[in-house]
This record gives sequence, C-alpha cells and structure tokens, in this order.
Amino acid sequence: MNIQEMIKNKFPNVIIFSEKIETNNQLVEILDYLKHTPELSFDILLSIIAIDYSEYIELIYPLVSTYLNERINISIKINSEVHSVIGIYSSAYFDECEIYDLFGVNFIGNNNLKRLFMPSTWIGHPLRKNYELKDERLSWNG
Amino acid sequence: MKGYLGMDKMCLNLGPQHPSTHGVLRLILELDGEKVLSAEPDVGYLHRGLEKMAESKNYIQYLPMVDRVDYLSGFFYSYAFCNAVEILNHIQVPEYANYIRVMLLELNRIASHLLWLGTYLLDLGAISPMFYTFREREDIVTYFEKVTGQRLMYNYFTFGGVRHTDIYLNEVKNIVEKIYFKVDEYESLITDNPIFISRTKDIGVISKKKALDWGLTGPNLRASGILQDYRMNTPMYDDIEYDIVMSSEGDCYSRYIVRIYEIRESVSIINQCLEYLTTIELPNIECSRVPILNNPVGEIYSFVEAPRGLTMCYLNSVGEDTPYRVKWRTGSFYSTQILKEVLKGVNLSDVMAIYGSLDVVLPEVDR
Amino acid sequence: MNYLLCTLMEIPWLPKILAVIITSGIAFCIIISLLVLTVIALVLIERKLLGFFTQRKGPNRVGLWGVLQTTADAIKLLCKENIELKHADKILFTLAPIMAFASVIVLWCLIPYNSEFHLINSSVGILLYFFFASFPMIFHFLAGYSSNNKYSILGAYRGLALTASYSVSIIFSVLSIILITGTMDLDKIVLYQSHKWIIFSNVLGFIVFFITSLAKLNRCPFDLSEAESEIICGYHTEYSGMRFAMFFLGEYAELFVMSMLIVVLFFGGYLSPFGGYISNTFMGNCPISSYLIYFEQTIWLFIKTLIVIFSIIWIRATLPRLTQFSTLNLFWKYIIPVSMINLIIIFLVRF
Repeated sequence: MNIQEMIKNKFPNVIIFSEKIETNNQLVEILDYLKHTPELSFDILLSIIAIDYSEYIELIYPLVSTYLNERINISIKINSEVHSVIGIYSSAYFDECEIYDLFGVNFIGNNNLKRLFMPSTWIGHPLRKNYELKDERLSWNG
Repeated sequence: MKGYLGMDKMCLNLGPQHPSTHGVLRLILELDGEKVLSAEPDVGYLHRGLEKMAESKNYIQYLPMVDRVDYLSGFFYSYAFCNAVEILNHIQVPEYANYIRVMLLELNRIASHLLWLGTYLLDLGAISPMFYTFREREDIVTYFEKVTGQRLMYNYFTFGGVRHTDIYLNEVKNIVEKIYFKVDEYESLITDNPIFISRTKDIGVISKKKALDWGLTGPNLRASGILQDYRMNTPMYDDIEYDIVMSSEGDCYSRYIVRIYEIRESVSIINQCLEYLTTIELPNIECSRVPILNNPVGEIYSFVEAPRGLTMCYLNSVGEDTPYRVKWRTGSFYSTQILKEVLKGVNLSDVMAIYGSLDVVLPEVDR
Repeated sequence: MNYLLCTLMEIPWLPKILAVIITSGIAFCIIISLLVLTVIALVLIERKLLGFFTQRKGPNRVGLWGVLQTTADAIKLLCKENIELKHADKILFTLAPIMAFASVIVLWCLIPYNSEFHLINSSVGILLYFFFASFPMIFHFLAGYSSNNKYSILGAYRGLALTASYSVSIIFSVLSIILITGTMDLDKIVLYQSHKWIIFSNVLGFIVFFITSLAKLNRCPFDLSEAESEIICGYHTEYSGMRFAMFFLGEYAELFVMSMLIVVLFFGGYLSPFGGYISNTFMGNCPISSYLIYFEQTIWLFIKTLIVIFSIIWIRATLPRLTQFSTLNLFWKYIIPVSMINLIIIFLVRF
C-alpha cells in the first residue's frame, strides 16, 4: 500500500494530485499522522511554501522521510489564517514568521510571530500580488 | 552599566557588525556572567527580495541573479534553477554537460568547505590555517575565472547545459592533485591538536531527533548520525561512485570531520568526471544559444545537495514568460534557527565555536 | 654607569644628589631609547614572522623590507580622532593606558644589560620585577571597567580570572630559581650562571615559567582577554588613536622585557655561551676591548632574547585559543602541582 493510499484511507476528505495531497482543514492531523506513524515517519519538514493566488493563498508543506527516502507534499488553501504546526515540527517557526512577514498569514497557536526580513514597523506584506510600495521612508517613493 | 552590582542578567548584542558572524547576523544573547541563558537570532539585514524580483523578470533575466542567493556556492543555486526550468520545459541535457556540471559543482563544494575551514579556525584563534586554505581556494577561484569570467558569481550554467566548453581540464587535474595532499597537511595541523579538540569535542551536541525536528540538512545532519545526502537521488550522480561521510556524535568536532572528509570525496568525484571528460570530444557550442522556453503550467521542485544543506528551488509557472512564484529553501536558514536551542547554557567562548561549526552564511538566510 | 657616577661624585662643586640624578637620567634616557627602538622593531619582526609562517611576505612597502612600517603606523595613530566616551569614567579611562605603559618602562630598568649597566641594582630585583609586573594587569582591568562597554568588561573579567591562576605558578617557578642561586638580585643570578646555565638544572621550572609567562603577556594561546573573534577587542575595544597605541606598544614592550627576564633567569643573561668573549679574543688586551665587552654582552642578551621571542611568535602562529575554563583547568590542575613538585625536587637536591 503506498503512502497516498494510506493517507486516503485514514483521511477520506483529501484530494490527491500527482504531486501533492490537498486537504481542507485537517492539516495538523495529517502532519501529526505522517510524523508519528512508525512505518511512515516523515521527520523533516523541508519548508513551508506560500503562493498567492489572488482569491486564496496556498500553503505547501513538503515533507521528507529519512526512513523511506520519500518525499511528499501536503497543501492547503487558506484565506488568511491557518493552524500553526510548530507543535509537531519545530523548524516551522522561522518559516511561519517569514510567511507572516511576507504574506500576512496569521498562524493560530504560534504566539511569537514577528517580522523576520522587513523592519518591525513595516506596513504591508511584500510578496502579495496586490502589494503596492507606499512606504514614505523610501526615497524614490515620491 | 548603571544598576546594582551582582545583577544577574546581561543582555549582549553579538551585533550585526562582528568579526565572527560572517555576515550580518544579530544574536541577542542574555548572559549570566559568561554563561548564555538565551539566544535569539535576528535576521533580515541582508534581505534583497530575490523571490519577489523573480516575478517580474524573464527566466533568462533571472538566471544571473540566482548565483547571488549564496555567493559562496553559486554553481549549486544556478544548477537548481536551471534544473527546475529544464524539468518544466522538458529540455534534455546532453551527457557531457552533466559531467561538466558535476565537476564544477564539486569544485565549488571544495572551495566552500576550504573557506569554511579557514574562517572557523580563525574564529577559534589560530591564524595560520586560514592562509593555507585560502591559498588552495585561490587556485580554484582563478580556474573559475578562467572558465566563466567571474571569481564568485558565475552565471555559467544555462537552460540545456553549459554556456561553452572551454574548460581547461589539465588545470583541474593539477588543482585536485594538490588539494588531495594539502588536506592531509591541514589534518596534521588541526585534527589531533589538543587545544582544538578541547574546544570542539562535546561542544554543541545536536542529537538525531533534534536535528531532524529543526530541519537541519547537509553536513550538519550527517554529523549527527543521519544518512541523508540528496546526491543519492540526483540523476547526474548515478554513474559516479562516492562515499557518504557520516559521524555519530553530533558535536562540533564531528561536523569538522565530516566536512574535511567531504573534501576528499569531492576530489574522487572530480577525478571520475575527468576520466570521462578527457576521453570524449567536447563539442564546440556557441555562447549565446538559449533554447526556446514554452513554459507550460506546472509546479516544479528541484533539489541539490549544497555545501550548507539541502537546497530546494520551487518554481510555479502559469504559462507566462515570467515565473509566478520562485521559492528558495536553503540550509543556513534552519541552521540559524537551531541556534536558539543549541546555545542555551553554553559559555561565550563556545558560542563562536558552535556557530562557526554550523557554517551559516547570511545571504542564504535572508535571500 | 658606575664609572660615570664616580667621576661625577668627585667634582667638588656638584652636590652628590645631583650626580646621582644626572647619572640615572642619562641611563634612563638610554633605556627609553632602547625601549622605543626595540618595540618598533619588535612589532615589525612579529608581523614579518607571522607572514613567513603563513606563506606571505609581511609588510614590505614602507621602507626597505618594510622597516618603516611601525613608524608609519604610529604616525597614523597619532593623527586619528580621539573618541571621547560620554558615559565612561573619564579619569580612569585616560589614566589606564598611560599607567600600563609606564609600569612596563620600570620593568625595563630592572634588567641587567651588561656587567656595568644595571639601573635599578637592588638586592631584591626579582621581587621588584613581579611587583611592577602586576601593574599592567590592574590597569587593563581598569581600562575595561571604565569603558562602559559590555565587551570590555567581559575582557576585563577574563583577564582577572586568568591572573588569579597564573600568579601562583609563576611565583613557584621563580622560587625554585631563588633556591638554586640563593639570591634575589638579578645581577648575581647572572653571575651565578657563568659556569652552567640554570636551565640545565631546572628544566621543569623553565617549562612552567615559559607557559605562565605566555599567560601573563596575554599571548596566544592564552589571549582570551582580548580575543578578537568573540569579544571584539576585550578591554581596549573603546580605545582609538594614541591611547590604543599605548596599549599596543606596552604589550610589545612587556613581551620583550619578559623574554629578557627568561634569558636572565635561565639562559645566562648577558654572558656569552662560549665562556670567553669574541671581542677579547680578537682585540687582545687593548683598552677598547674592555668597552667592547660591555657592548658585546648586551648583544648576547639581545640575541638570546630574540630566540625566545621567535619561539613565542611561533606558538602564536600555530595554536588556537584556549577558553577561559580550559585555562583555569590547565593551571589549577596541572601546572601548579607541577611547579610545586619542581620546587620540592629542587629543595631536596639542594639540601
């Protein structure tokens, strides 16, 4: 039974694409299941990728299993809030701070969200598609 | 300094300007005497917005900017992006180009590790090894200048192969022969040095579970005992034999050992590439040839094992001639994050030893 | 120097105190000029030697073979802006580099340069030496404390912790020499070695003294109080311009005088290793040769000192830096017991 079938059996509501497995609202449970099942043990969360399609933001969680030498992507489409996964993977902290900084996504459960790259007094979220550079501190901004 | 004598906590900024942070990293340390109570890394001083810039540039316009994500291992990032575009557009890379790519990648890995070695020992106080490693690195970098025209940011890989095939294979042979003997020289100076051992053994131990949990990859992960090297899954390396270097302790000394032995492995890989490349006749290709890119809709994940960890390039295309989203996953980002956890309870002198052994380069962190 | 004093004393209209002052003044000027020239040369020698150890050339632009490099550096430092700190303790901040350099000048006066020229010829020379040699440490700490900078205070505290550990072992190894020679007068210690150098009967003491003198001079591998890669510059982070030059030159002056002390205590001071003097054998018994002997003795002292300094710079080029806790560990657990055992052995052999 390959990995995708195992996930589909346990979580019937996911949609399976060729490259990723999309879920609606069961992100934390799926990640928990993937990490803590001994046969699967996806122990490295590589990164959290955020893509801004104008109506929604898609977050992709690529995971790697050192036990099976396999890679899998879990994705979720959100508006502006999602549950944080730092309880499962500690490496998600910087990723979530970065996505909060650049996209404006709020991670519920992560109390230490801060701006990583932009100055802490910056207004706006740069990597969004509708971002207009209006900060008056920049000298070329009129 | 006003306050009571015997106040127990001192907040020290290992500020953006510091001789040993190798870049602009700000570490906010809370000290109790010489012991670190908590460490908070503050990044973002080198943020150049490379991911946002990708959305307004052509693929061929973005290609020179990719080297600059980490200027010490420019070939790796160049390869990751080229590979992503090639997978997206179903471009076939000829065999000789693969071997040239592998050879240059491994030379770059040697150069990066040599620089790391020299600066790590400079942080620990020994001033001579830096000059010795830089002497060897100078040979490599001069060779790169001869081939690509640049010492650091190469812009040599292109979609479908390499830009030209004027690689001077005799020079590569001389360089790797010299380096193979010089690595023994460095080891004789450093590996059994009691002061070095006392400063790095059992310092900054990262257990297997912690390393996996915090997303470490590359030599840092292999030094903690996990066999994870993406070269096993890269098709370019399929015909090449190499050993994967691992250590089981997870302290600074084992991270040093892993990198030194990786230099030797890279030398053996380069020798195998040279064997192949000297037997075939390299075609003479024109410099400006770029394949026509259709850019179908798709999402591509391209991985490469860079000297600092696993590097991922995520490319999302919606059919236009500029990418919709480019995301870089770099190894140093997670090495900086783990500092919060590893630096608790160590002395100030050990902070530099641990930080140096993790091989953090700030442009990778901030992109 | 004694000759000059006697001639001056015989002048009837000169009060004796003035004779003493004139003689000491002339001798002091000689020593100061010697100090300045030697320190200038020593900075250059160190940079050149470090360059040769790392396959570089060292400074070679200013003057032939870079001879004028230190002078150029000194002029540059003179012209630099003197940064006045707002919250620093101004008196201590200004006083610390001056006193650190001044205490080293006194040390230079205590060494016997040849059989005639010994400015402070006291019968407790070693005791006075170590008394004055503890001053730089105090003023380094005051410099770090008064800078109102966290990196400086860290460097100052580290220096204090280091002092507590090396003081005991250096005194024990010097005690072993006093036991062998029976005197604390540096001139008599040199004369004691005219048959055999003390190092041949006190190797362990030499090793302990050498290692602890590296710690005393804050040199690699014990330069943790000014470790550049961790605490920027330690106690002299906030100093710029001529004040920094005072610390810098003071450190090199102390290095030279400590090496001279090692030579005086263990390697026979100004005595020639061949027994007789070259100027004697070549010039026969003419009156110039007696003056040439004094000159030659100083040259022997300098040659031996330069050999000791070469090995100190060699150690700097090779070894990384020890941490504070390793240093304390090393001194309290290993070096102090060894120096105690050495003292007991010397005592038993002697009596």
